[in-house]
Amino acid sequence: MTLARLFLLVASLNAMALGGGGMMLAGLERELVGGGWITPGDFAAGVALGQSTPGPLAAFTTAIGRAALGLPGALVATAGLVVVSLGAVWVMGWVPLAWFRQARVQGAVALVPPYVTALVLFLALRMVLAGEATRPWLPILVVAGVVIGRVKKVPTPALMLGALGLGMALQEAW
Amino acid sequence: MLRLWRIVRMGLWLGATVFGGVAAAYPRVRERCAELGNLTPEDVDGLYSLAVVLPGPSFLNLWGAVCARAGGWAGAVVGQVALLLPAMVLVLGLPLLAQVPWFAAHGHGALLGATYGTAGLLVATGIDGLRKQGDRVGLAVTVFGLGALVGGVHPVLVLGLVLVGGALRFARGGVAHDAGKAVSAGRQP
Repeated sequence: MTLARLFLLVASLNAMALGGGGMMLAGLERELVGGGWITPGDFAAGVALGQSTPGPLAAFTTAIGRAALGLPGALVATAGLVVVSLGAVWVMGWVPLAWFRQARVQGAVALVPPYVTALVLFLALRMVLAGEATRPWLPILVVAGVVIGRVKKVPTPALMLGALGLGMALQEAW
Repeated sequence: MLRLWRIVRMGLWLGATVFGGVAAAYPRVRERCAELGNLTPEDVDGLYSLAVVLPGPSFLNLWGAVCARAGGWAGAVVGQVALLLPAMVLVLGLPLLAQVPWFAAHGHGALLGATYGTAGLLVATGIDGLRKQGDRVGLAVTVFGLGALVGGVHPVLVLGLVLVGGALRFARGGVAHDAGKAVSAGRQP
């Protein structure tokens, strides 16, 4: 695997994946794990790391690029994301804001916020179900703690550090 | 220059504090879009719909489009880099900790805790979204969307159905709340 090939792989998979960066996971796994460039364990760890850090969920691409080719691989894989996204931004730039402000378009997009609420809850469900099945109380405990912390206006970094610490403490305890 | 700095600052803030991708970022971008230019929350709704159906990570697409409206191509590029930077630092830096024996022993638990923590933040964002929905239609769309996504329907297809539903609702005279507000405010061209 060369840097140029990694860049083209990420950019091409990304360009074909509609619905977000997560849609290219299967293609990346097929090419990198199937091709023997990284181990299944490194791939799974990269995905978990990318999804539990802040920012775009597609940050897993950086982690997987690092696992495959080190720091240059991480930078090149991230560049593959940005290039495709800038293409999408270019396309979106052609749509005048006046178009979004037409009553009929606003009528169509008025139901987008409730849809995003559904998507948020679905992603949460998927993350919980993807975890350990042997200790089902662990996600319930952490999720409930974070939700209560959010209601009490605890800052997000503090909540995440708390969740991280709880995960470490409970791993040690059990 | 001041606008670019504002884009960088907000990009870093979003990149460092939003867990869970575009779905978690969308309410925050919608709330604070006015700080970057003449964007309205309804513009963000439209850009979000395009960001999801176009190729590329939806979060990068949405944020890049918002930044491009505020600061042109330079704004889009610096905005996307600022958004990615916190995650890159963590993704590249955290594996170094695995070389320290204590962290290596607790790494799995930490990663699990962080994943469930992200799920918790998403649940909190979802509850917040449910509270802000003023009518039964919004709740029905959320229930329908959740059911379809759990049932394995592709997110872009679900979004397409939601957009068609919104358009039909508008055509039948059930002017959506936000659209009604926008029209009454005289923002329709």
